[in-house]
Amino acid sequence: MTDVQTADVRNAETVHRWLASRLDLWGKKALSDDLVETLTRFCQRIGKCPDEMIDDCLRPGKERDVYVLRTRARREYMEQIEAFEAETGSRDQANIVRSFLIHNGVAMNPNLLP
Amino acid sequence: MDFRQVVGRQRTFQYFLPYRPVERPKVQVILEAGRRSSRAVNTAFSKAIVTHRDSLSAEEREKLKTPLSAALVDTAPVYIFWYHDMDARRVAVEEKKWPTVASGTLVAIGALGPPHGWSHRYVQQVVLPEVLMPGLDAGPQRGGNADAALAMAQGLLAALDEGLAACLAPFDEAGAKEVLRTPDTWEPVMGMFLGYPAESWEAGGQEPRPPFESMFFEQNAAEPFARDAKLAQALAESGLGGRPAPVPWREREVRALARMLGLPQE
Amino acid sequence: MELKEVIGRRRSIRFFEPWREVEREKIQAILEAIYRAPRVLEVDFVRVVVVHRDRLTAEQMAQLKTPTTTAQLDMAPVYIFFFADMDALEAAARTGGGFRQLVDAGVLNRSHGWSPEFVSGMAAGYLKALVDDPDKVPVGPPGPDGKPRLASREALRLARTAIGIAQDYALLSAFNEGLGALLSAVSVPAAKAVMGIPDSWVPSSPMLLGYPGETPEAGGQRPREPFEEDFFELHYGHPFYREPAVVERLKAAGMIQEEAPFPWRMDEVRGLARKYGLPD
Repeated sequence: MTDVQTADVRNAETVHRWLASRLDLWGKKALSDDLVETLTRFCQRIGKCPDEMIDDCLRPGKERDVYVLRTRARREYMEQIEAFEAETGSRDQANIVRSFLIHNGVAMNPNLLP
Repeated sequence: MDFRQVVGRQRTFQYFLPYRPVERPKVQVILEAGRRSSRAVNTAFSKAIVTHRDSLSAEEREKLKTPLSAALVDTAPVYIFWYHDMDARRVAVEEKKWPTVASGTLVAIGALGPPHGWSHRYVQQVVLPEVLMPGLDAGPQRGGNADAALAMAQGLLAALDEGLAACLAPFDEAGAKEVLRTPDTWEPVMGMFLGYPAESWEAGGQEPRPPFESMFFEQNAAEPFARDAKLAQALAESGLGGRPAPVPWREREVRALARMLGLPQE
Repeated sequence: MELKEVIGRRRSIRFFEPWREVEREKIQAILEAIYRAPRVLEVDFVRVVVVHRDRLTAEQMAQLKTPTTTAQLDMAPVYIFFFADMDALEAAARTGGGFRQLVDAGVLNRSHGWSPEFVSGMAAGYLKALVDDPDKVPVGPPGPDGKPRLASREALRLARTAIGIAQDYALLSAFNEGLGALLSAVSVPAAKAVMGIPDSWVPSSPMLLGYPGETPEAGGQRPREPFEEDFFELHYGHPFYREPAVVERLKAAGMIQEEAPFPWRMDEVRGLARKYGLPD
């Protein structure tokens, strides 16, 4: 466990972007307190702030606002989330973390096959 | 008409009633069908120009002919020239024109979304620069586009469904460019020659194909797909099939058609 | 189903029932439709490989995925891959290919200038000129010798046309069978390795196939650019007039359907995410 606090997570730029994107796509009902709480638990588990997670996965490109997907980092986060899912026993909680990454431009999905 | 019957009706039709015009609404149906075909990232790769034989001068018609399509140009009352717009991806990506992936529409309408890993930010920051933009600097590239052919194939089925005979054949690109004034970024797909059939719908019978097992495989390229013969027969009877060419009376039909249409008999 | 309705119902389905296998007879029905599709210049280009997801190893599945291809590959139980065999074109350029068959079968006749001599001379020569065009490009990833196979752009143009026709027949046939489908991206080098694809086969997007998990409308028919942007009459720049009465007729026939987005589409997508354990 690290000292990543809920307030740090809530104030992160990438979290604001995530919540704004959810609001835009799904409406108000897609915003609930457990989003930030769950992401905070994941951040504490891996010892990274939300902005760091996105920086790990998307390398700035040559032009402004263009990024290159770091496939190895993405793969590592997918594995970390799978471990989090196994630990919590909750696909829903793991999907909250995946949602955070997706709305920030990092595509991923859980394994659907047995 | 039932889907399977339309598929089973397809032939390389060669004989059209030269005096029977094709109604404009039927031509529109063909285009509307092509417009609804699947296309990658919802981009408008497919274009078409409708031309009427009788609106062209003899000189213009000559310009459209290839050795493989000369007689069709002379006998079909309507031609639809299908093209691939090699500039379509650039227009979608740089001008953000039309409802495509690049403009964000497919995410906005819920066709692609977070359950599949997609978001507006993913489109703007990753898909555009990494998938859709690479190669644009090189300018339009020839080499064909399957999506443009999907549109044409769907138009062909619609033509048959509308009771028309149709045949796909190549046309002379340079001549067509002169006659049709096509942009430099369009490359030909195929010409669709259309009309009411002068020949029977069987058109001599269903055309030969290579063995099924040489085209279709299962799990890997060395394992032919095991075709169930009874099922193949049932599907043929439900509309996909027909008597194999040549039907016994084909030669007589062809001679009669040649006489009727003033075409060479020998 | 009526053709017009099949065309109208087709749209890219991305949610499949991952646990529901597709009956073998439906797969064969799709292949039989492709079998009857017109050939481009009568060349036997088309090769199709049916792949069952559950016969792939986890490692193979992972290799097939690209960053843009995620859940749909897991969800669809069947993938149908399309290829064009460039060797078929080269063989046809030597002999006249399927044109000869059509002359023999009485489809192509002397009334239109066709004869065995015309096939072996003019028609074969036409195909040979396309094969021999000097503007050549790679048609796939490098082979075992580290070099990719080359083909002329003109030959590739025909090959992709042949694939597109087959894909269209396959998609429509899938919807006619009550299935859902879409053309999707996969890793081409991985796909070739998994299926042992010869270097002469040019790949294209596979069709993912399964029972749809979403409603048939899937949020509505996908919007298009204006009709007048794509279709012209007599020459480019003169749009083909779109008669509203024809549009109404096609709406009644089910070919033109209500356009996306349906007002409840986003609720449907979130519901599907929960149903299949996907993120939202």
